[in-house]
Amino acid sequence: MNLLAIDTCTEVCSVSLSAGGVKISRFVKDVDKKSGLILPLCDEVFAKVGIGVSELDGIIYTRGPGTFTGVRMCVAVAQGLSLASAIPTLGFSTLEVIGFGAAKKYNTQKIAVALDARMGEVYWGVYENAKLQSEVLKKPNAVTKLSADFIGVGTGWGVYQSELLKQTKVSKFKADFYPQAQNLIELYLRKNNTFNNKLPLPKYLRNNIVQKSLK
Amino acid sequence: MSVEHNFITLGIESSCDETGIGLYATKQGLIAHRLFSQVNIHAEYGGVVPELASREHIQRIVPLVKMVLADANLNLADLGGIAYTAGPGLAGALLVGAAVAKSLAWGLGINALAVHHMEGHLLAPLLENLQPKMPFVALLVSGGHSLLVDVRGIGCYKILGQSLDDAAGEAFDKTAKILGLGYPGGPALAKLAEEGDESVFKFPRPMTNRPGLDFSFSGLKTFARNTFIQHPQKKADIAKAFEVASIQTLTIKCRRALEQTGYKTLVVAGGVSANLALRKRLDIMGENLKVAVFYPRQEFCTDNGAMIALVGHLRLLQGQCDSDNNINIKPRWSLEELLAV
Ligand SMILES: Nc1ncnc2c1ncn2[C@@H]1O[C@H](COP(=O)(O)OP(=O)(O)OP(=O)(O)O)[C@@H](O)[C@H]1O
Ligand SMILES: [Mg+2]
Repeated sequence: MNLLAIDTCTEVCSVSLSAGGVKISRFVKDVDKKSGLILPLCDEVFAKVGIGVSELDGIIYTRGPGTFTGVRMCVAVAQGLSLASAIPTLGFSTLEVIGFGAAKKYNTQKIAVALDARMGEVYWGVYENAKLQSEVLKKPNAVTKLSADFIGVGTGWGVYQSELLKQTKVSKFKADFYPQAQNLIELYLRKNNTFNNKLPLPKYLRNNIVQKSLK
Repeated sequence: MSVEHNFITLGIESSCDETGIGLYATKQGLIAHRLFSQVNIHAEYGGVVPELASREHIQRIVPLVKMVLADANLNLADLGGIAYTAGPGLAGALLVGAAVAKSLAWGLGINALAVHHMEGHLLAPLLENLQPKMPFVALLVSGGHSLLVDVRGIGCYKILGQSLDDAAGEAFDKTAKILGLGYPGGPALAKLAEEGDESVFKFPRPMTNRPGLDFSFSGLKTFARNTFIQHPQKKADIAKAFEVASIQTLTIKCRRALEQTGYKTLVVAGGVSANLALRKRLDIMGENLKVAVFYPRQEFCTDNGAMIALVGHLRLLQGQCDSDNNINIKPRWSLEELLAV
């Protein structure tokens, strides 16, 4: 199966292309306007693997939550690439791909994902027993009470360290932990997932967004 | 490029609160276009909510592209290039259009091109059968801009004058809001003005008694507010007085620009160019000065995908295209920075 995975939902940008037993991935962090880089990164991986977009069996993307711009960049690119050759797609939660990646890396079943959502809130996901159990927007002092054997990951743990530690009783965390496109591919392959022909769309979690424009 | 080859450009507009898609072909000109207006979505907030606009664009662009292709009986494989509005406009809204456009073009292996939204408005009259010849003076009056432009050729633009504060459309919208006419106010204000008596109030003609081609509209809006406080029953007369004053100001500046350049052609575009009273005044001025005046058809005065497809087409045919695959937008972008064709 030829699979492309893309993610630009947070501060990083990554792509991964898997075809005929080869998997090539790119991950870029700390670059200005990193998400604008997604197509050049696609260029690189397609050139390395030596297939074209039309040969894909599916496109896997993160559908949010994350920065509004990053989420829409990711979903819009999934839309454009999918439209070009009628490639089916599947979107995963950013929190799920982070949780999956962390569970694998730290070899545990208990991950607490917190992404900085600005405005004093976090995108909160409990990834337990290989499943994203919840996905919500919360104040750090209102997230799920957990136990000390959970590991916290995501930018929220950096920004709201003391609140989250106090509320969750978690003792270990890594704020510098991001989604990776190659994990999207693993996530897809791990379960009985199926691609669909629906339009890729974002999932924002934050919906109280109305502010009058200054125009 | 061979003459036989019918190059087809897809245009994607998403700079503000309208999703517009157009298809322009070398042989037939404009072959299809569709618009999804978000006006009703933003109306309850009394103005465009940028985040809501972005959220709408991402749901609308791809379905509209498919519909427009179906309308024209074409496939994606028939496309020669994709043009998208890269600015000026709302960053989030622009980004969605740019990202879909660039990834679609990349996937199809064809060129993409960033288009300047105001060049779209400026050249919209070229979508009509009877076309203005360059050089000409362009009056661009929209929700975000009031510009007088010296147009020597495609991409050769010199700004002769611009608004120092509110754009003309913005002034119509804000005055309409003051009068309680809802959103978007321009057309509603114009409609109410039809019932108004011109002789009841006399509004100032800002910046007309000093030389220069710049505009100022915020004073008119303030004048309207003060008049409305004193005469709350005279809405229609206030609307009329505001409209007459704005139109006269625009007309005076157009005449000056035509005299200054010596050009015999005037192009009027952007949302406010839909205003029939403005068209009437400018037509009369044109007759007096022996100047030919051109407007886009009503539906192409406001934002649309057809004008973006057209501009993209003209430039792509000349070999212009984005130099890399980065997804970049330019929320602020001057008309004077464009490449000549
Ligand atoms: N009949 C009319 N009379 C006066 N103003 C009008 C009329 N119809 C539309 N408008 C005004 O035109 C503006 C919308 O035009 P347009 O869509 O070109 O602007 P925009 O895209 O919001 O701004 P810009 O193009 O500068 O980014 C609004 O301000 C609206 O009130
Ligand atoms: Mg416009």
